[in-house]
Amino acid sequence: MKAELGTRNELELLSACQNGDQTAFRALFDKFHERVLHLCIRLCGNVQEAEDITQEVFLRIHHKLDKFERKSEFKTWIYRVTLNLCMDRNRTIDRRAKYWSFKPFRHVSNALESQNFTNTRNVDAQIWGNEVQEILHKALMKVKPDWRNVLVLKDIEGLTYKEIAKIANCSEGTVCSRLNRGRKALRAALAGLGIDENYFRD
Amino acid sequence: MLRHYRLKQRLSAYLDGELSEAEVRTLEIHLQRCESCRRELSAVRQGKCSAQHFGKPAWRDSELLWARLQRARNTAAPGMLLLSASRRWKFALRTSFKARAVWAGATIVVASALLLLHLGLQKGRPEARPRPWPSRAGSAFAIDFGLYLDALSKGQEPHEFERRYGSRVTSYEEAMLQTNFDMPASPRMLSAFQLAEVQTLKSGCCYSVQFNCTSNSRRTIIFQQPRDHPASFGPYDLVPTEVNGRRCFRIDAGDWTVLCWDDEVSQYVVMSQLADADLTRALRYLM
Repeated sequence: MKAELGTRNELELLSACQNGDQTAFRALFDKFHERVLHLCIRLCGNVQEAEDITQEVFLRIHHKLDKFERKSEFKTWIYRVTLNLCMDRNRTIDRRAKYWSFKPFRHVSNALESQNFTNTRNVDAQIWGNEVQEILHKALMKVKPDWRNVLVLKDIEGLTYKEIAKIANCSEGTVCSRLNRGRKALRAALAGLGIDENYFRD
Repeated sequence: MLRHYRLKQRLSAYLDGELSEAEVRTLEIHLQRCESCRRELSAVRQGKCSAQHFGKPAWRDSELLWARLQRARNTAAPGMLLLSASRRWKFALRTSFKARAVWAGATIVVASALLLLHLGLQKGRPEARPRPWPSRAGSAFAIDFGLYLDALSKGQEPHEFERRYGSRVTSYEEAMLQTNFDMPASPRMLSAFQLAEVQTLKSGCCYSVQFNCTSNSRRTIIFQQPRDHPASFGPYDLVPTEVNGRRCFRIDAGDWTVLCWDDEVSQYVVMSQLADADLTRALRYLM
């Protein structure tokens, strides 16, 4: 059964889901949850939040299956939902950081900033495996959220400009300029963390 | 030809192979000429190389996540994202609780400090000073003072008045001295006072209070009498008359005219040298 489900494409799985087939939903979950989780971790920086958001994404998908009109790919849709939820979360964090940014509470603000890439459960350090990945992730977290979204979708998820434009709800020109800035910011952030410009080479 | 900044924005697309052939050619020609774009391209390329080294996180808890999702789906009512709400609650509590707790704590501390300060000040403060004796009293004061004098003359304890006005007088004479009437010591005024005192002595109650009638510098003197006043006022007869549409009594005492009328509270007698127009105005004010 599982093998059979594995061979079916997303649209068939979706149709089955819409008809109330739970195994099809499980197959969709299996197919996408790692990507969604990875995206969430890259966009939020925090594993615990990423798990919550992933769960939220699949709940929303499940509730709104009927409303999916198949004008775009399922992948685009799920990425878009994920991106929106992550942006919501980042906005909340920004608001809090702004709220605490005046001098007497500067330490709170600093703690909030560091919350982006540290975790109370201390899972983050383990999931990256090596130090280089940890530094890369830290540097990514220093990139402005709008640029980071595009950077992650392009360089980590490997989507095309057209798909990114659809997901981020902007033009391809905007995607391109954000990607420019995001890449430059990533390089600057890495330099700030003591990584040489020529450390990563093709 | 595309301008420099537009070409600069397309460097990523150039690296990712998203440009058309014509655009690539244009950009390459521009790159040969433009140093700034070459630097930019190198920076973007380094960023891209770094980004390509991003690895995947080692994630093994798929079953756990699926179980969580199932639980959330079962508890959520159809059409309502219960988990979303709970997650939001959890998030809101976790994030804003600290902030709110700090603000609430600060408010409580400040409020209690203010309260303690207030209590401390209250304790250390000397007793409230009595109000200065009014040099120009209103009609309410006039009534009070009349009652006070009445009580004094009857030998009663006039606590209320003393408390209200801080008076320390013990006798009628002293009260008369303290009232600060601010009157010219004209013989006519003195005679008016004498008239009052004579009346007081004769009837054994009430009554002399100054009232400033607001009109010029002339003075009006009000007497207060109990409701069951006699038809005569000492040696003078009360002549019924009408002033300003109200019935009152008139007493002619030499060059002073005395008017008295009924009021809901008490009765007043006005002694005045005022011209009729001024008297009318004064009466309107008093009544």
